[in-house]
Amino acid sequence: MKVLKSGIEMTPAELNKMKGGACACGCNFSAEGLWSSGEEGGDCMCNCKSDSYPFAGGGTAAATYL
Amino acid sequence: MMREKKFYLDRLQQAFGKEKPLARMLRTSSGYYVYDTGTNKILECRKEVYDLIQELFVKDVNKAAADFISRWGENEFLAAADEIVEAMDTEKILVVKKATKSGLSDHFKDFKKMLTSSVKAINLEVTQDCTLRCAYCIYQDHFKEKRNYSQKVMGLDVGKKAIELLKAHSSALDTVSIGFYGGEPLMRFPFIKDCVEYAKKLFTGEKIGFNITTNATLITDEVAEYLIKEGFFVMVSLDGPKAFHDKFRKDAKGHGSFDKTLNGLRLLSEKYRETKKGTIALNLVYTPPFSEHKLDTTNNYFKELKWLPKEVPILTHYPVNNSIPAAFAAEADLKEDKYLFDWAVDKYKVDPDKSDSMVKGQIEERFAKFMQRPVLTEPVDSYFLNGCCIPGLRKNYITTNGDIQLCEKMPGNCPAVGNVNTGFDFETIKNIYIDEYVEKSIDTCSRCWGLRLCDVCYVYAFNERGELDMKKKSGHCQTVLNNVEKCLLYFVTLMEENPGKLDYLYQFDIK
Repeated sequence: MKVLKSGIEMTPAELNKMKGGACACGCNFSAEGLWSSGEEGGDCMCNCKSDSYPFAGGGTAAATYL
Repeated sequence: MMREKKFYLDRLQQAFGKEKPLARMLRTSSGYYVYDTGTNKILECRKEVYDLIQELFVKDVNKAAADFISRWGENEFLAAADEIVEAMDTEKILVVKKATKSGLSDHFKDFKKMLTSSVKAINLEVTQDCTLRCAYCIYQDHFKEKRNYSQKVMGLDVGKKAIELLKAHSSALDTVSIGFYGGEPLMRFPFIKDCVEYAKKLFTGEKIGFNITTNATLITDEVAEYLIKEGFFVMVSLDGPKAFHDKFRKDAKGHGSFDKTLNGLRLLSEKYRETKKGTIALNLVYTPPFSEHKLDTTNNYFKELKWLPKEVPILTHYPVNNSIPAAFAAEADLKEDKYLFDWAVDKYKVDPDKSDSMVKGQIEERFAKFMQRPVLTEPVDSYFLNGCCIPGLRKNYITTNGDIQLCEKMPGNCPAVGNVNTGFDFETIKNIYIDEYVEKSIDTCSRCWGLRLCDVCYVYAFNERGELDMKKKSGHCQTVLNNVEKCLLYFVTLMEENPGKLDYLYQFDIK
């Protein structure tokens, strides 16, 4: 079985240290600087990845249907 | 080196015995894949390996092996099992069987601290009135989850308090965002200018990103110049050519708004071309009757608008669930000959980076999330809050009366997370938006293969009474899961057909 070349490979620890990156669960807590230890580089305090752009359209919040 | 059958049965028993691992099998027209939730990896495999894993997912290990052997023979079983076990050992896949509970609540003290210094944005409900009465608007009477149109406006005192709140809670940041929303916010252009001036006075060292969502009907030369000069991100709602747009987007007297909207967009585009400041984006609601022809016509229409800057993103959406009024039900119920996403993928795969804006707007962000997703060397079993935002940190929709809602998309009666006069309500955030949400979600989410790719958030979990409603959330979950699977399938298909063509998405800015 062969891993499809996509994504950014990292260890869980590297992931949590990466500011501006996503956390192991797919969230952005580490990007927000939310560390469970209170210091950068600890475990991420998750979560969040839902904000695809700054705001939804006027009165027509985006449905996620494909 | 191939081992004996018993060795493989024992190893497969570890992975598929009592509980099945969190993973999803994917099959394209020419390839076979496994998506592994624990590591977020996608692995390509032979047909026989795919068949064996499929059997293992639905049967007892011994029965799965026996059935597989009866079709493929023992040698093939040993070969397939050997490949699975090797991938388990080297790639650490098929390990996570159940995600564990989020630790967020336990860390609430730190979280509270973050809310005092890293609040990124506010979005002001400038007015509840609008120049239009679009048939599918969520503020129409027939849509029960949201307030209706009203004459309520935000007072400047509330606007200023909201800006002060942002200032007071963002000391750790160098960039903040202030949005203007409605109704139609440009009905109160002087209010917007006053807020911008106040914010610029208050935030002396930080960069402020202003944004506005508008139907553009009130954009004059003066307004366009102002918005572009101040570097606004302007989201214009335009549903395509006149016939499509005017069918739903009408004013209170029933007149179509296309001409005014297009004029506003043209003025904005002119100012943008002159200065290259600010950002313009189009928000397009794809309305019934849905058809491939309609999508092609719309796409061609935008391509032929020579004055529209090519870099303007076009974000296309179906109307919000239950927002199409009964008068259009017959058209909405007509079977679609091509779903929006399928249409976009067909166009995109011809030449991804040269696709039209409307096509890219439908595809790029979704695929970029796959392309940039963290792929883990070790499996992780943490479960958090799906795609929810961090309450209070990211959006903060300030209503006309000064209440702080999580965002503008939340149903109207949801518990506020604070008020501009009293600040954030940490009790409500912790008790409802964290503890209760986690408690009520964990049973379902912890056994879901899609939990790392899921974008279900609070918006889909609260009902019109403002209560956390797991039935509503579950209903949405299945739609999202189907969409994630479909998206993954298209993603691997494109990777097969055009290897390397999606590499540019590593650089795509996922906001």
